[in-house]
Amino acid sequence: MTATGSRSGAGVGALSFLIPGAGQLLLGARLTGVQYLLAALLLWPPAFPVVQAGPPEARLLAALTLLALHLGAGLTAVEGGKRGLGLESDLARAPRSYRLWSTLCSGLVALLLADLFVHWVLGLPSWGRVFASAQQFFVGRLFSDEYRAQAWHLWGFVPAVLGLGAGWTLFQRRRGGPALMVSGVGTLLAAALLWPLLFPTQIVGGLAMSLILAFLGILFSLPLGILFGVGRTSELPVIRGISGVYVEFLRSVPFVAVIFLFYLNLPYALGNNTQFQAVVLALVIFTSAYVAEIVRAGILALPGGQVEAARSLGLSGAQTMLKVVLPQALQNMIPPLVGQFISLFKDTSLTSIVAVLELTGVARGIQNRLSAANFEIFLFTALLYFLVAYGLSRVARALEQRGAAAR
Amino acid sequence: MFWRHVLTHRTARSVNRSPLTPRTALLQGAALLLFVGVLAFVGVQVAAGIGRNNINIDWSVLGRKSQFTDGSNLSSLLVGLWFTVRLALLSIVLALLLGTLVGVARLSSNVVVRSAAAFYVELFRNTPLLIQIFFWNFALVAALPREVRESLGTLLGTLFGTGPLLGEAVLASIGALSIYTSSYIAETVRAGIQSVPKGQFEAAASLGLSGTQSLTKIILPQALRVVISPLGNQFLNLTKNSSLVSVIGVGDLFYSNIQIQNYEGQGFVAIVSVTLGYLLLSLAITAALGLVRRRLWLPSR
Repeated sequence: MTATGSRSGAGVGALSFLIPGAGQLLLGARLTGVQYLLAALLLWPPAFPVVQAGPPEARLLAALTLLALHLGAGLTAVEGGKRGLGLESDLARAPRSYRLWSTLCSGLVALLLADLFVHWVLGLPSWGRVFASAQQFFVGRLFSDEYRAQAWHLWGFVPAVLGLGAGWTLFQRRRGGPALMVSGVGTLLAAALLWPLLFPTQIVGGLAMSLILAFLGILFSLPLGILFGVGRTSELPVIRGISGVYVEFLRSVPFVAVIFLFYLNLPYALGNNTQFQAVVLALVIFTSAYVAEIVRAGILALPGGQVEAARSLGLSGAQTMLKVVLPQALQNMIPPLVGQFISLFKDTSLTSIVAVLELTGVARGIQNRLSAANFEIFLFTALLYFLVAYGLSRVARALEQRGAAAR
Repeated sequence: MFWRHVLTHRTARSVNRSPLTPRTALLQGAALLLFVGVLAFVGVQVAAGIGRNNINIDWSVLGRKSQFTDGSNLSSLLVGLWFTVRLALLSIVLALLLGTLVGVARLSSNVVVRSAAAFYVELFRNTPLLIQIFFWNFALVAALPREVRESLGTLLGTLFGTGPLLGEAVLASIGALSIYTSSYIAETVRAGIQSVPKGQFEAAASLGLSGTQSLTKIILPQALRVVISPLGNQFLNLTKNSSLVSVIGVGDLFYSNIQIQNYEGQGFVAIVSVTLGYLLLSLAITAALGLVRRRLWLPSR
C-alpha cells in the first residue's frame, strides 16, 4: 500500500466522524461498518430527545453516548484506513480501537438506560400507597388487629434457620449424625411454633407463607423422591415400572393441573376444610417426581465399581443402597436439590390461583383493592421473589464449586 | 435399527439383573399392591365424598352442548388444545431466537454486553412466570401506546381467533412465556457453545473465517447437537407453563377446564380431561423430539 493510498484511506475513514460506519463501508470493512451504522440508527432516535429534555445526568450521558459513537466510529475508521486493505478479517484491521470504543459506547448506553429506568421507577405515582401495605407483602394480614396476638409465632423461623445452619456446618465437617439431629430439632421446633399460623386457618401470608410452603414441599418430597428415584434404578422390573409411571406422569402434566386436581378432589378424602392441606400435598407430590429424577441421576453418576465392591464385601442390596450408594449420591445431589428448591419457591406462586394468600395472592389482593399501581405492585413483588431466589442460586453455585474443589 | 440401540443400552446397564426368585417376586408384588392400593383407596374415598355431596361424576357432560362456545364441551376442549399448540409454537420460536442471541451475548468479549446478558438471564430466571405474566398483562401491555396496543391486539386476535381485546392478553402471554423461556434457553446455548472444544474456534480463525462466520458455520452446528436434548426439555416446559395464561383469561386448554367447571359443575371430569390433554401433548412432543434426536445423532459421539 502506497503512502498516498493510506492517506486517502484515512481521509475516507474520517467520514465516519459524521456518519458512523460510512467510512468503514467505503473502505470495504463491511461488518464493522454495518455494526456502526446500525448502532447509530438505533441510538440516535431515543438518545436525541433525552439530550433535549431529560434529567440532567441523563442528558449528559446521552450526549456522551452519541459523542462516543461518532468519535469511536471515526477513529476506528481512520486507523483502519491507515492500515489499508489487507487479507485480515474485518475487525482485525483496527481491533484495539474498535474494542475500546465499542466497550465505552455500550457502557454509556447501559448507564443511560439504568439511569432512565431508576428515574422512571422512582417517578411512578403510587409508591406511597404500595408501601403503606408493605407489611402485607411479607406476612399477609398477620399484624391486623384480628391476628396481632399470634404474631409472636413468627419467631418459629429462627430455630429453623439456626438448626439448618448448624446442621449444614456439621455436615461440612462430615458429622452426619449430629447434623441430622440438630437440623431435625430445629425443624421440629419451627414446626411447633409455626403450626398455629397455618392450621386450622392460614393467618400468615405473603412472603412468609411462600417460604413455608416451599420448605414444607421440599422437606416432605425428599423422602418420597428418594423412594421413587431409587425405585427407578431398581433391578426389579415391576418396581422400576411403577416408579417410571409415577415420575413420568407427574413430569408430563402442568403444576396448575396437579394443584387443581388435588385442591378440588382431595378434600373429599381428607375431610372438611382441608383445601390447604390438599395444596401442600400437591406441592409435595409434584416436587417428589423432580426430586426422584435428581436422585436417579445422582445414583447413576456413581462409578459402577462402588456397587460391585460393596456386593463383593457381602453387603445385601438394601445395605449397599443405604450404606454405600445413597450417602455418596446425596453429596452430589445437593446443588441440583437447591436448584429444585428455587423452582419450588417460584412455583408456590401458582397456589394463589386456588386462593392461598402467599406473596402472589397478597399482591393480587392489593392490586384489586388499589385498582391502580400495577407497575409498583408487581415490580415490588418481583423484587421480593428475585432477592430470595437469586440469593439461593448463589448458594447453589457456591456449593457446586465447593463440591468440584473437593473432588 | 432403533430398538437394537435401546436393547443394548438396557442390557449393558443391568448386567447383574436379579433372577426372579420367590423373594424378589414377593417384593415386587407387595410394591405393586401398595402403589395400586394407595391410589385405589384415595380414589374410592374421593368418589364416596363426591357422592355424599350429591354430585354425580357425569362423563356425558363432554358430549353436551357447551354453554360458552359453539359445539360440545369436548370440542371446546379440542379448541383449547389447538390454541395451546399454536401459542406454544409461536412462543418457542421467539424464545429460541431471543435465547440464542442472549446465550451468544453471554460469551461476548465486550464486558458490557456480557454482563447485560447475565443480568437478563438472572432477572427472568429468578422471578416466577406467573408474576411475569401479570406484569405483562396489567402493567406493560396496558402502558403501550394505544395505537400499538390495539393494532397488535387485533393482529394476534385474528391470528388466534380471539377478539381484539383478548388479543392483548395473548400478546402479554406470548411476551411473558417467550422471555421467561429464553432465559433458560440462553443458559443452554451458552453451555452448548462452551462444550465445543476451543481448538475449533482457533482452527476457524486460522482459516480466516470472521467471528460471525466461525460462529454460524463451525460452532453453532456442533453446539446444536449437544443442546438439542435440553432445548427439547425447554419446549416441553414451555408447553406445560403455557397453562398459566388461563389466569389472565386467554382461552387455552386449561381455560376450558375452568369454564367446564364453572358452567357444568363437573370439576372432576374437567380437570381429568384437561390433565389427559396435557399428558398427550407432552407424550407427542417427547416422541417428536426423539425423532429429531435420532436424525441428528452422530455415531462418533
